[in-house]
Amino acid sequence: MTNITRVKSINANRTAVAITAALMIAAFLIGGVKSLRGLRADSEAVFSEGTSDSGPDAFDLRVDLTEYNGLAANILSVAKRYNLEADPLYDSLAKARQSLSGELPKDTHDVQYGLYLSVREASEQLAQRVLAANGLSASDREMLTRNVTDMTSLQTIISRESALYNRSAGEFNETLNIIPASLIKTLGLVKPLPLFNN
Amino acid sequence: MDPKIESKMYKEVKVKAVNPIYAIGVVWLVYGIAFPLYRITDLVIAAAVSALAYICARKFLPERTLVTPLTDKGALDTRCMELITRGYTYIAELEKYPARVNDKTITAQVGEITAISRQMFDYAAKNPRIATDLRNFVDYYFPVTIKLLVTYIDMQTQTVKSENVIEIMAKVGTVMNKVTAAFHKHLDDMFSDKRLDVKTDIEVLKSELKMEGLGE
Repeated sequence: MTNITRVKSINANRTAVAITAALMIAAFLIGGVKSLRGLRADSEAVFSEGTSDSGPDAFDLRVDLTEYNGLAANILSVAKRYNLEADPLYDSLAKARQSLSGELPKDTHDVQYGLYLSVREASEQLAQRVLAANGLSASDREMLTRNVTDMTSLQTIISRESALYNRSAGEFNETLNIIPASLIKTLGLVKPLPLFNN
Repeated sequence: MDPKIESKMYKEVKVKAVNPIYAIGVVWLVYGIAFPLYRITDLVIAAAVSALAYICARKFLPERTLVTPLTDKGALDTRCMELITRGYTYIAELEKYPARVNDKTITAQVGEITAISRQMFDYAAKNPRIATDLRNFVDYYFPVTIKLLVTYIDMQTQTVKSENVIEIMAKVGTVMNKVTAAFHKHLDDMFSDKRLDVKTDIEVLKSELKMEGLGE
């Protein structure tokens, strides 16, 4: 083979190898990102849609949190009837409720968990304050007691739901830490899921 | 161009097709779009499938055949090609004459001329740089030699050999001696540069060996 032919042949081979390498990298990025985003969406769906393991009493975390926030509103209504609006607990529960019910940015389940804890803590304390209030009617006491009981049972459900979501999100995050998926994570093409706890 | 002549200036080279290499990339791309590709096992499967595609492509896609100049000095340019082609055409023409000439000396001389010419043009086909040195042969020596041979054959067919006819035939015989000698000399001259190169190389080699204490 002459030099010219050899050089042409080598150049053609080099070009083919370079293009093929580029195609392989593109395939890995396209395939990897597509698959990982699909997995992420599945894990994320556990938060907003629940799973078959959620149990008969639970729907999903999103619905449970909305319901919990609604029960917290009942405590505020009763507290208002007994002129406890000036109480700092009233204000902190109102603000925490408002934040929890508002539209939160995506991927902020950890923030959401913090707000849920704030509502829970303020609700429990304000409920105790109302129950200790002078002149509390029997019907309000009964309603408040039942409300607190409902909130407690809902906390158990939320705890179970969050465990399911956290397990799913944790598994996804674990996958994202293993090579070659970690390369895609490093490039910032797929982000880990925030857990619903601190 | 005459295929025989062409085969002296060019040769066919088999070059492996690059398409099988591209097949690997295409398989990866299709696999990446159709299947998950984020675990080591996914990469292994994609690599295995693409290797299979490469092997199949190598099997079914033929090697490319490139026509390439025989020389390593570069491609023959059009003028050199034309010159060498014309030379081979004249040689082929000259090769017809020995059978038609009655004189054994002239027949032998023409045979010698064609053999020398073939050697010169074969060498020129592989070394295009010296092809232009043969222009005189193509433009002058070959046509004149053929013209003289045609004249000689014409004269030898004359039943009555007049004085002029005999003189012409004798002169052609004499000049063919000189032509043969000229062809010999030119063939020898073609290698004079080579001889000088080799001589210089040998002198340098001897000096080096002497400096290293490896020779006298």
